Amino acid sequence: MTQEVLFNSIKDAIRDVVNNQKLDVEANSLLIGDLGLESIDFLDLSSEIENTIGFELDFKEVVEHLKQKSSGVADIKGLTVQNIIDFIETKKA
Amino acid sequence: MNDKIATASSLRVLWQKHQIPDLSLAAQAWVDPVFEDSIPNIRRLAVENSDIVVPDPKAFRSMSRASLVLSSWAEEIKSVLSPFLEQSSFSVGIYCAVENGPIDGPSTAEIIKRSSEQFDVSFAEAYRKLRNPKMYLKQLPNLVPAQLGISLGVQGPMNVYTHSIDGSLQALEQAKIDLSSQFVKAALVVSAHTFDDFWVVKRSRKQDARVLCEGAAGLILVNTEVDSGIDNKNSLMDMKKSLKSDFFYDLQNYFGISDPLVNLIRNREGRYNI
Repeated sequence: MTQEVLFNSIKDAIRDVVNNQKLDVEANSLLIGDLGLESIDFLDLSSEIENTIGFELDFKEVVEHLKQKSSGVADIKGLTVQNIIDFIETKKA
Repeated sequence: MNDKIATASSLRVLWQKHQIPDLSLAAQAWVDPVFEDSIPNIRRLAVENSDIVVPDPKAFRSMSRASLVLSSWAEEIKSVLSPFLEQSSFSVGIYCAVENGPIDGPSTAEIIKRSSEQFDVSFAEAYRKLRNPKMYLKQLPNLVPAQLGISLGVQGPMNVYTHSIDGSLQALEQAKIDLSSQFVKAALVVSAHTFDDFWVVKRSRKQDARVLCEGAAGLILVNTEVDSGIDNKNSLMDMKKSLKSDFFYDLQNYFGISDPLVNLIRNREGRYNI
């Protein structure tokens, strides 16, 4: 799965979760700050990604992974769409 | 306090609304492909969930059809309630009669299928993987008035009634009690009967042989010195009598949990200030 396909799948999933097909989703969009996701949306998004991409995404794991990489992401508020793409690619590799 | 109760002799309907299908259209059957079963003789509201405009579209995936229908009235209700809400957001109560929201049919069917063998292992695994977390929220009847309350800015008492026949009468009676005791200054009584969950609708079907219709109704009640025809002193048992001729029985159509409220408002159409 290429980065572009992965990005489009995640973008569609986010749009479905927040019920807004026109939502402007960029790779560097913050999930909470820019896209307005709330705690229940993360569970929904995880479920949506698992259904579409077949990858079981644990956001807590994503944050821990980024902390270990000293990426500057301290908590879930700092997560971007690109962080998810990178995490899935790393785990799938 | 007692003096106030004594002066509150009657209720006034400040606002009322109902939404029902076109009753001249032929009744149909609801066929559920997941459970391979059908419910005959039904009539749906002529609106798809995706076309219902609600104040917070983001909450869409957490809302049952009943919640969507009632939330779509929020702006209209807010305009009527705003004088009360400007004084205090706690001065208005919501009294809501709805049945449980839908289970996630496809995932339920899949879970049942998977769990037939190693039940404890496969059931837990399938449940975790297949259940969309927002489906739980759709199921909860108390989320219907909660969403409405959020949209309206109401922080007063929120009451939910799920009795499949008397739910909307119970809602109406509690509103009367709270108004007569000055516990609230305005009461929003709402009910929606929607075809969300196949098994809940099937139960409603068995309760009554008339055309089973979706329907929603709501009214805002306040205390008044002027006789509205709605006596606020009687018990639930006397409710139909106390509403005098305002209730009527539709011989052809049945609106499930909302039936009394829908028919009350159908019969009162156009009468607000009595």
